[in-house]
Amino acid sequence: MKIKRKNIWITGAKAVAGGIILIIALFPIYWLLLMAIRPANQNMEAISLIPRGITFQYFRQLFQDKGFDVALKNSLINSIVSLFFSLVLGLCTSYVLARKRFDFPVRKPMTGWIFLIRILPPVAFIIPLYIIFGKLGILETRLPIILACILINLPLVIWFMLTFFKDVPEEMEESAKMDGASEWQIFFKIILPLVLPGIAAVAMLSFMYSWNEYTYSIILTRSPKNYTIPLALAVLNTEDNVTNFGLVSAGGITSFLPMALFVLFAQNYLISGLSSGAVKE
Amino acid sequence: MTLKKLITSVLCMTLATTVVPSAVNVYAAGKKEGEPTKMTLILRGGSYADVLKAALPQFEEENNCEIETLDMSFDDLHTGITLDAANKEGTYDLCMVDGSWMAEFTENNVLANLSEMGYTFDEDIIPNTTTICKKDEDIYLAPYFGNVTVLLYNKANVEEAGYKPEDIKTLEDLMNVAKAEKEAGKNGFAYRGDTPDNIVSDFLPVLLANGGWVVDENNQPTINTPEFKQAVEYYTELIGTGMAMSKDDVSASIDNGSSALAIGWPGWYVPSADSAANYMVSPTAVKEGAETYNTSEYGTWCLGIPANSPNPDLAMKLLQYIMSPEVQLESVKNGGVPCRYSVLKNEEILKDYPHLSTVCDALDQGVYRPAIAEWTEFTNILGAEMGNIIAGTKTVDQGLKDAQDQLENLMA
Amino acid sequence: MKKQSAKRQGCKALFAYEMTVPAMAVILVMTVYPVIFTVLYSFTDYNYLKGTYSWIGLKNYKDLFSNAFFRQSVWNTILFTLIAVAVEIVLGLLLALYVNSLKKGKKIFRTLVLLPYLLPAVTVALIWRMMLSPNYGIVTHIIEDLGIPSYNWFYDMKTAFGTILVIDIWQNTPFAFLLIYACLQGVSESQKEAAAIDGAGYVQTFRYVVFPNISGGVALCAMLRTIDTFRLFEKVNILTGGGPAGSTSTITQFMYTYGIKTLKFGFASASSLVMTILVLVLSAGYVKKAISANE
Repeated sequence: MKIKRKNIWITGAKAVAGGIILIIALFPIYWLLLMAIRPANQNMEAISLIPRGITFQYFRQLFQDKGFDVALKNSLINSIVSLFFSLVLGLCTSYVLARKRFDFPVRKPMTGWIFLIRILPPVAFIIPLYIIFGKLGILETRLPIILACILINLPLVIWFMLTFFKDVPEEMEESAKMDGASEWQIFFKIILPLVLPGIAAVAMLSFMYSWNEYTYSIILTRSPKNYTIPLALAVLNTEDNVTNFGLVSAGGITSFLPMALFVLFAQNYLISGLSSGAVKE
Repeated sequence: MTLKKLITSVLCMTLATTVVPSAVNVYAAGKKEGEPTKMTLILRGGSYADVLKAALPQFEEENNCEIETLDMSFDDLHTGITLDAANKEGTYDLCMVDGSWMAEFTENNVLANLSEMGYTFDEDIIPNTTTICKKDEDIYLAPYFGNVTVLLYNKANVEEAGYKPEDIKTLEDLMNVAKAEKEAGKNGFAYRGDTPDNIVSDFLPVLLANGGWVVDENNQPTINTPEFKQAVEYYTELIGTGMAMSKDDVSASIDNGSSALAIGWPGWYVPSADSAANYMVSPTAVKEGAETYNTSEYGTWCLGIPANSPNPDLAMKLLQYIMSPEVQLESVKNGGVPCRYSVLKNEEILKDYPHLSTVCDALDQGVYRPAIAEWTEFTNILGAEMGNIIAGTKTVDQGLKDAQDQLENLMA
Repeated sequence: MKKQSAKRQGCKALFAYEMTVPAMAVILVMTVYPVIFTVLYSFTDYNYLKGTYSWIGLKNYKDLFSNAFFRQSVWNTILFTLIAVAVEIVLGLLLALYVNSLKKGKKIFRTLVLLPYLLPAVTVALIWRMMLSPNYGIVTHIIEDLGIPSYNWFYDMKTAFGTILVIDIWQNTPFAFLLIYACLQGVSESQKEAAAIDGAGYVQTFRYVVFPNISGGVALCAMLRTIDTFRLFEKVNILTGGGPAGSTSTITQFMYTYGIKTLKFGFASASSLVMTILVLVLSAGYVKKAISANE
């Protein structure tokens, strides 16, 4: 009886805590959404928690006049393509670096270099990269931004996955080898499925970094047909005019929705990854 | 597994269809006969770019060309133009330029000499707005969008303080209104306290009215001078009647009456006969009977042609088209503010846009920020030290002395 | 026998090269020139527009350290990073433990609390500016309705730094949560049960069973957050521009205003390098651990 009552208290406290957490986490986003769908001239006035009237004028404006249609497409392509390459290249490298048995002369400096790349501030790279890409004559294309995103995400994938690969006991590979499996088979069939939660998490992070990438993009873009969402967003916030909060909010929501969908998708992977192996027993 | 395959094949296809052709395109970009010429403009995003873009379709049709525009934020526009300037063959045919970049650009041959290309100013253009566009009689820029600081005020608050708007002529009047409103429980004077750049912009009209300036004729800093000190002391007292805000808050609080006065830009507020706020030319003297000065600070957007423009002739044609009185007159409907008397004093136009008359007065009496190549750094240093004074972490004397020392170092 | 093992050794080496060469090729091509460029130019007065430069030795570094704004920015950045990362990890850990203990609604809860992290920094800055506005901000209204005195959050010396800190923590705690939560999934129930049978309380179980399993994740999280927080720029630039009186300026903000905007790339390079060394020092603990664990 006593235990039961205690449980009720705990459940109640937990529910209250959950409610508070959700309010803190989500209220600003709800506010952003409200701003985006409020009819004009309500933004600066009396605040009400529930919108009085809904409008999609800001979204229409974004896609018709502000080039968000092109930007959205570009952002998707850049993020997906760079994510694909970062993951493929990064996972392979990370696995080899995580395993002592693949020892080769440059392993140590290589690990250090990759780490260094990740911590050097982007501003250190921008100008030289601009010069290189200019010489190659590819500044008019989307390649520079994709490459820059790979440059940001490749070290992240490698470092992130190192932790996960190391947690997979090496004996597992030894026994697979006894059964005659090749290194490639071990990597693909045994190791990768075990680190799926890590892959899902790092994929999400990488996608986010390239989706929100601004510093490189603004320097490496010379044609409006390569504009990405963060660039289009930056223009909405002008200095000499009063900010059109409706438009900015609609832009914020637009930039955020694809990410949210991607996370939902990646989360499903996370779950299947988790349930597929109680790995670390 | 099928899902994996699906994702892989989708990715491969996106790759094949996007990356490869776009890379190939670069090398096959040669122009064929009769095909429209491609032009690229780099502009300040927001209303400036929108106004200009509205005029483009007609030009494109008449001249068989296709025009792309890059909309940029202020800093990115500067970086974008300068980065491209070092390339032999440039990307941009026309660029929007802030007056404060002029010295840096001409010193480094970023811009083409428009006089040599046959461009002249007609008498209709407000003469004061062209002062920064020339270097030794040669024209490098054309003033496109008139932007100038004005004094924003809330009508009811000014009345409550016992003033008529047209009677606020001096800094003394300004202070009286601000103090009266402070006593009435409101913000007397709202100011922008964020970036060093904004702090300086907000303060310059007060400095000008005091007869001070940031540099002398030889471009040496004049921060540690009596006029400057007097202006700073006045300004700190003035802002003591209000508080620091972002630009959106400044205009919102003037509109809703929680603040009485502020220095702002016409783009922040569109007044009408029954609107709560309005703007006017900022005070031009310290007190009645004192010497008057031009105190409106230009933020005019000018147009220039990069020296490495791929299509200079067509660019010149485009510039002349955009700057022509007819096109400029038309641009008012889209929110444009041409620096032309024929537009700003046009009775027809003033009927619909009465506030343009104030803008015209302010443009007539405008002052550009000094044409020095180091201006960006200059304003950073000055703004940061002003920030220290405003926040009270340094005394006026100390702050001005530190600013003067650093700026002398910079300009040496 | 010997021959076979040599062959196996060869296979292994081949495999290792096949796996790493593509990534290394990409990284080297894109980083060797920039890094050399940055190091070399930090000793010059490189003028991008003129394309000229001359060696000026350590002048850029001397200027940097004698610049009061830079010293202030360094101090702000370090303080900000230490506080933000510590708070984010503690909150992230608590959140992860909380979500992990939920019986129902785990998945939906997990997705919802992640959302703040997904917003672009620019958007985050603008939402908070709207919500904290002294005129029309909802937070200001609520606080005033409750009778608590409100501040001019972004422009008051007392509150500006803390306000940006809170906003950054609001956005980035979900990141710490995600990482720690992913690691928590590796703690097996049977271990916990075994601990419970041995009479371990909640705290003890956490200390001896759970924590060893997630310490790697916490360290990784600390490092990644340190690196990213050190670069804090957009929020500051939009919300306060480094003010009031430089109390919120960060190294990146300094670098941007005094190096990139002014096209003094030599100076910017020098500050990039100083910043890199600072991050290395701050994350030294983790680096040491990671490299020694990799041996």
